[in-house]
Amino acid sequence: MLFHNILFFIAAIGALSGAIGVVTVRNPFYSVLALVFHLISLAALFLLLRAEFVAAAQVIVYAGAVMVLYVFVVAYVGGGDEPLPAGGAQFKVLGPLFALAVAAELSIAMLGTALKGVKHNGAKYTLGFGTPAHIGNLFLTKYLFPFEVASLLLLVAAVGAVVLARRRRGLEPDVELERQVRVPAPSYTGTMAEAAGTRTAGTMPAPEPGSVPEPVGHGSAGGPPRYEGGW
Amino acid sequence: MAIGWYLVVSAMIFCIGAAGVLARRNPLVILLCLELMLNGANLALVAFARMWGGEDGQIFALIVMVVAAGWA
Repeated sequence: MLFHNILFFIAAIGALSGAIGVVTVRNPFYSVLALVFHLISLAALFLLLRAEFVAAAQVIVYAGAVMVLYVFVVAYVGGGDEPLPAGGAQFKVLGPLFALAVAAELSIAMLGTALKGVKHNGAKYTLGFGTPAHIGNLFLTKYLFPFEVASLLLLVAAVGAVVLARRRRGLEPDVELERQVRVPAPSYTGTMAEAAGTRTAGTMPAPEPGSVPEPVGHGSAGGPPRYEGGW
Repeated sequence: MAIGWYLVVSAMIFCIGAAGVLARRNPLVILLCLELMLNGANLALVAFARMWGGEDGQIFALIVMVVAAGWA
């Protein structure tokens, strides 16, 4: 029991310090890292509450996948300090005050509660409480409808993300592709004849007298626009 | 550990997240603070599931995690 208490305090201090770090750190990248720390400490709290499957899902899905996504967003967008310009000076004072008020109200509610179970360690649990077997059994029998709705929600989110990303890329992607492909390669570039050196200057299509491009091609100034590499 | 301790921790996490949503102006950090609030609620759900000895609260916490992964 003492070991349980020590673990609880370690995990709770970790979760709270991670949460404070998310809010207070200036750099968004570091706040994402603080959130990862917070989530892992919270998974330890879930384990202490005998919720094994929720803890595993928290570590794998939340601290793994979702946070990697946030790191990517930070890396792409870049962490500007405070991009939203509209006046938030009063929120900087009122926000913590509001949070303190909510905290006071919640603690009053918790101190004055009539729930007897809050003072105890929790009800007796059967063997296998919170294991994936029990959770999956509940998901496929009693909570089948929320399960299906959640899967539909994830499908809608994925398809919507793809549609939004396609629309943001450009207006007509085919036109752009065609413009890139249709640039003709200038004469005497990249042919076997050029490599063998058998082509003579007489067959070149009307070069200007001053700036005759060398048949070697690369870096010839003044020549026609060339198709440089690509696929 | 009594269930009330877990509830106190969850309330503090929720309030820290609410303060962050109101005070910060970076939209990405606001999203992170919303995640904090969801996690505070999740901890309360799992704590009450432990209190009643049923797994329904854990199911609810998993659904909340799915929703949070959806709008991420």
